[in-house]
Amino acid sequence: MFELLKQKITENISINEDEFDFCKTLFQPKKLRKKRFLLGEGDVCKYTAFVEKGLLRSFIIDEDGAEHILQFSLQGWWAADLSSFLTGEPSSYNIEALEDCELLLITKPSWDTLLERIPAFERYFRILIEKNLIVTQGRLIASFSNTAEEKYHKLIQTFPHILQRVPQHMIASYLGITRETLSRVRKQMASRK
Amino acid sequence: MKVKETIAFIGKADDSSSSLIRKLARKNYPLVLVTKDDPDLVKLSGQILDETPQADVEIIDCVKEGCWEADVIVLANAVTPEPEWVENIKAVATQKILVYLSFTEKDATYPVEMTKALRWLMPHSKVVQARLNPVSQVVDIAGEEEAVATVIDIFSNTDYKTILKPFIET
Repeated sequence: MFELLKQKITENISINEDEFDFCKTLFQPKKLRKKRFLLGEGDVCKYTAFVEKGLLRSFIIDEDGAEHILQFSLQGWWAADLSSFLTGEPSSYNIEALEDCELLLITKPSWDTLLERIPAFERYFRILIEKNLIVTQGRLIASFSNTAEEKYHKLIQTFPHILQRVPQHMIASYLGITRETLSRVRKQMASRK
Repeated sequence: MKVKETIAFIGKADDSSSSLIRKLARKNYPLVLVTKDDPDLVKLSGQILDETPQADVEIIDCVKEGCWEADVIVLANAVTPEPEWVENIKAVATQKILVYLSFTEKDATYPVEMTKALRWLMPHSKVVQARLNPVSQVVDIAGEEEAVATVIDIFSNTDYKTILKPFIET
């Protein structure tokens, strides 16, 4: 527990053992079984979750009841509805475990305590938020301008093993294409190999 | 969709605790009943699933696993926080709500020594004192503000009356 979090933090900032020991006291370790939810639409996002093990998906449900996957969070990634987490407003996200997960959760008050006590974490979270912004902008632009094949190619680059872990209909939902289009793209790519 | 807290229950199954567990299950709280060898708790789990098939109730024999999965840990019926036991769950109970729950009809004081010991042994958990009167169905609750709000919410959703009390230190 905490080794991966420490590795990810120290890739970006320098902290000493005492500082990391304090950091550990602010995180809530949580096992979340497959198909259980960390966050439901309408709830306030109480936690930002670091994924130590497993896989989560963040999705919204439209008026017709269709699911749209916004993000997959793999081992070493973070998951939350940051907007709801930071503002305390109800979330429109659902976050579900696609596999049995081991998470480290931090609440907003604990997050604030961490930033206040160890200012280096301000830099760490700024880097995280910048990376998140870049990914979000990239997804937005791709959704308007990329072909289905380009989107699929990018997905495989970003999540090399995702196809073995996530059903096809969820991949299609993440890419914003139909299952039929996904199937056609995969066949086309396979035939070129 | 409200995601409800997963509650780990550690303690004996008697009339009062069984009634509470049944009510929580009916309100769809995911429950982890921690026991190695309490046949009454195992029987209760089976009865709940017969009565309420959609209930999310499970028996786990490892206290650490049960607490790891839980958001709220309930220690009921005078469970004694032995140092060895505390050491076992400490790492997975950080920042979690730890409810020391007693069942009493009398207007007795809280089990102050136990909650004091828990606070000392598990300084990074949020210890809450709760006293449930099985006759009046009133629960007196005391502890840190944010944790108490969650515990009051759980008991209120489960049709108990709740009264906020000051935390008794001595």
